[in-house]
Amino acid sequence: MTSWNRANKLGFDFETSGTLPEYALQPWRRAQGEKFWATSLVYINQQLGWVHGGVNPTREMMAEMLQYAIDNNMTLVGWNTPFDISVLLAYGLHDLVMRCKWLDGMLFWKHATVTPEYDTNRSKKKHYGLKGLVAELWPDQAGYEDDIDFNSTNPEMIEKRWRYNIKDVIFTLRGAEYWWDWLTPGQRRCALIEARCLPMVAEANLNGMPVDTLYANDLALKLNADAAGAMGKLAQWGVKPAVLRSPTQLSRLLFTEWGLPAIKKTETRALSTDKETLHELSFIDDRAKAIKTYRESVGNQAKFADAPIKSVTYNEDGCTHPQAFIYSTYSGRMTYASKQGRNKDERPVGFAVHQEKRGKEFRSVLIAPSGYDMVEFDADGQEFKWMAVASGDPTMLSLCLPGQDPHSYMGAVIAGRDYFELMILVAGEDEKGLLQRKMGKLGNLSLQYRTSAKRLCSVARVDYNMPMSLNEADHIWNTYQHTYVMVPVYWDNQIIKVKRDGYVETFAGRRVQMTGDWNNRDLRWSLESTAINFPIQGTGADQKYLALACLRDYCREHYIRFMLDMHDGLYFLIPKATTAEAVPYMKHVLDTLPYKKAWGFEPPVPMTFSAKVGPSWGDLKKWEG
Amino acid sequence: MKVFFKNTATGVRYQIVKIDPKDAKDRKVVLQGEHGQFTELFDPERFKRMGYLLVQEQDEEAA
Repeated sequence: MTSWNRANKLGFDFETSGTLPEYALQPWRRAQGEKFWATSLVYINQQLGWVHGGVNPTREMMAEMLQYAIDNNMTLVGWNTPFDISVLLAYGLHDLVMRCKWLDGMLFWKHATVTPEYDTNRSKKKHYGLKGLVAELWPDQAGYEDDIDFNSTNPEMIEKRWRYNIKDVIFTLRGAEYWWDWLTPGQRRCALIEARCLPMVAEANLNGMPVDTLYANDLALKLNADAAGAMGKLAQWGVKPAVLRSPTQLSRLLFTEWGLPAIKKTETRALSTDKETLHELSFIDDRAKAIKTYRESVGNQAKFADAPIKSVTYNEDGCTHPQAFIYSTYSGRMTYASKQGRNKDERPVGFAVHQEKRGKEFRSVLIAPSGYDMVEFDADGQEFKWMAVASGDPTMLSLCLPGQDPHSYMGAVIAGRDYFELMILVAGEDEKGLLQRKMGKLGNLSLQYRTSAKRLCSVARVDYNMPMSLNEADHIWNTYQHTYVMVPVYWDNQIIKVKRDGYVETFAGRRVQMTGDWNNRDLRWSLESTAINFPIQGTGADQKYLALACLRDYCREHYIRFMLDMHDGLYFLIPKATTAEAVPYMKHVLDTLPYKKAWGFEPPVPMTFSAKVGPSWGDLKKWEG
Repeated sequence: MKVFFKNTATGVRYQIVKIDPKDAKDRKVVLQGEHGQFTELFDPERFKRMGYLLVQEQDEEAA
């Protein structure tokens, strides 16, 4: 699709309400005795100059719109389309929804203008909302939503709301066309692939994820006991919980009263008491270790046990509904909102699933619905492979071939031993061999983005729980640079290129504008890092959208639901009777994604996926077929 | 005789300590987990959807 064709576009938008005002944003309430409903639906074709839809739309009216779009090969255009699609799904129109083509003006706007988050004052961060668009492009029309009551049943207000709804759709179509014209062919490709995934994202948001609240309650007890145990120890040293909640008081306790060494400072030049600091201090002081245990246990209980339970209680459907959001990161990766609304209107619909801890203990909270298997498809060595492709490093590229293990290779080079010998030890689960491989993994994953030896040391201790001296970190750092000689060259070239171009691009053509102040010392390192990281991490996001887009029809035909996007993995819910057939088929699709056709670029190494299957997120086992 | 809710999919189980009050619509169940006792609103349909079945100790032994 090159130029925007008004004739084959149907702009559309819903207004919604519920038995409580907040339910207007929670389509899953429809299944709870109709606590959610649409108050109006408008769909417009600009070329034909007609407005269709109506107030209090019925399921039939919605189906008519979808069928019209299918019969006339039209694309439905919305703004923040996943929400409107989830309304249609809540009305039971799954099959028609999945057969339609969708676009999202909000997505175009983001693709056209996105800049890195750190480059913008947090309060000025763009949200790409329709009202913001109107204020920016057509300021004389801004505020058209001001006196609309979205829940009123007063006939005058219903009429007013209907006219407002029409305006929304007109601005949606104008905005989508405006930003489409801004996009490069590569950006359009990416936006179209992403748009193909919109109904899957909408479905995931609508259905949520079932929580085993019994398990979550027991986990909460465990974490509470851990915190109480640590607090018991701290009480012996006269520490009270209030001190641990205040960074100022905690800083005074650690560094003034106990005389522990300061590790680092915060942005405001105060002595830091963060996770990394406590981790370092825990090696040298039992009191600091108890504080670390207390804070981690309290935080983990609140985030990963209490919050899922709270969301299930609030949602009343046995599920947590973290809302996937595809517009919030410049890299293109999905993020998840755990709440709707702000301040006193905040509603706990989900939990911080994107921050979920690794390991069975935490992840077993999320379970597959009855009759389904949970399946994870993980892109093997995703960032390592894309760095190999981006840098063209021959050693890295050779390690991406089937049968190779880049982490064993790196571990062997660090340890100064034979690679195949280490592979054999790892296969035999030899303890020392596994540790050497772990060291290689740490090097491969941590050093490809210019991490310093000092930072590597901290990552090893905090994230991998591996004691490491600065000398050891220096050795790994030097080994990395000598092993993958083209990677540092890629870093330098990429910085020069992006500085010159004013943007950075993925292999698929997704772009981030990089017009920030490169002379600003505080900003320069971040800008350079984005220049290096974005082609890798952004391509990772593109790869996952391409994967979802290619699986959409198969999922529709086999009642498979997309559930979650997390790190390198895509999670699906597959009806048990279908799993044995679906997993190998889906894996085949993912292993042979049509990169050339979709992006105009064929990766020189195989981009494979691994599958895991299980009844809960914590019980996933490698699929052996 | 010990009675448990056992998750048929994941295998975790919780012993029923008491269900109270027995006939109320919003009755609560006190369960013994690995890490202590907790109270849960007892909605049989939701328990079923989570994959839990009632099992007695002797069933467990037989299994």
